[in-house]
Amino acid sequence: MSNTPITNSIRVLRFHANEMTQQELADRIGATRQTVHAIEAAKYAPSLELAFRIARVFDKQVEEVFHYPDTSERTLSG
Amino acid sequence: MSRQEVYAWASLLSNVAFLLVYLILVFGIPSMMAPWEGDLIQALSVIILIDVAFQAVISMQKRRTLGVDKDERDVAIEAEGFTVGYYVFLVAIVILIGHLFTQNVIGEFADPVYLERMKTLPLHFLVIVLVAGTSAKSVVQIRRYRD
Repeated sequence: MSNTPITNSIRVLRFHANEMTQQELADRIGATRQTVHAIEAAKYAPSLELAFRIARVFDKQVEEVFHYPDTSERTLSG
Repeated sequence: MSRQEVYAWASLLSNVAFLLVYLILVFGIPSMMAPWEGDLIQALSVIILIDVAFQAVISMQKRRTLGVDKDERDVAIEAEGFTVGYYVFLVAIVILIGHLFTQNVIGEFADPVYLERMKTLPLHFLVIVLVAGTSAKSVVQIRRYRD
C-alpha cells in the first residue's frame, strides 16, 4: 500500500510497554503482524476502529498514538 | 510473508499452470517443443496438484493457530485486486459482445468452415479471461503486499 501522511508512535510505545513484539500487539488488536508492521512504517492507515484498539492497548488517546500533519505542513510536503 | 500473500502466490502459480495446460490441449504446442509435450503437460499438472496440496496444508494449519488469518488490510488489498479483475472481465465482455455481433453480421457471407471454428472461440475466450481475471487479482495483491 502507498505511504500515508498519518504517522504514529507505535514503535516507541511498544518499547515502553515492556518491549512488546509486533506479534503480541497484533494478537491484542486482532490484526496480523504484517499489518502492524505496515502501520508502524506509515505504509497503511488503519481504520478508526483499529486505531482505537491500538490506542487502548497502550492506554492512550488516539491523538497520542497517531499524528496527522497540519494543512500547511501537508501542503509543504506535497 | 502473510498467509494471504502466500495464497495470492499459490493462486497465481496454479492459474498460470492451468492456463498453459489449457492452451496446449486446445491450440497445441509449438512444433519446436513438440517432443516434450507429454512431459510438459505432466510437469504442469504436478505443479497444480502440489499447489492444491500446499493450499490444503496451509488451511489446516490456519485452524490450529490462534492468530488472525485475515484483517482489514488484507480485505482492502483483496478489494483492489477484485477491482482490477472486474475491469478485466468488463473489457472481455465488451470484446465478446463485439465478436458475437460481428459474427452474426458476417455470418451470411463467411465460409462455413471458418464459422464452425468461430463457434468454439467464445468458450476458449471465456476460459482464458476467467484465468486472466483471477491472475490479475493475484498480481495486484502481490504487488500491494510487496509495496
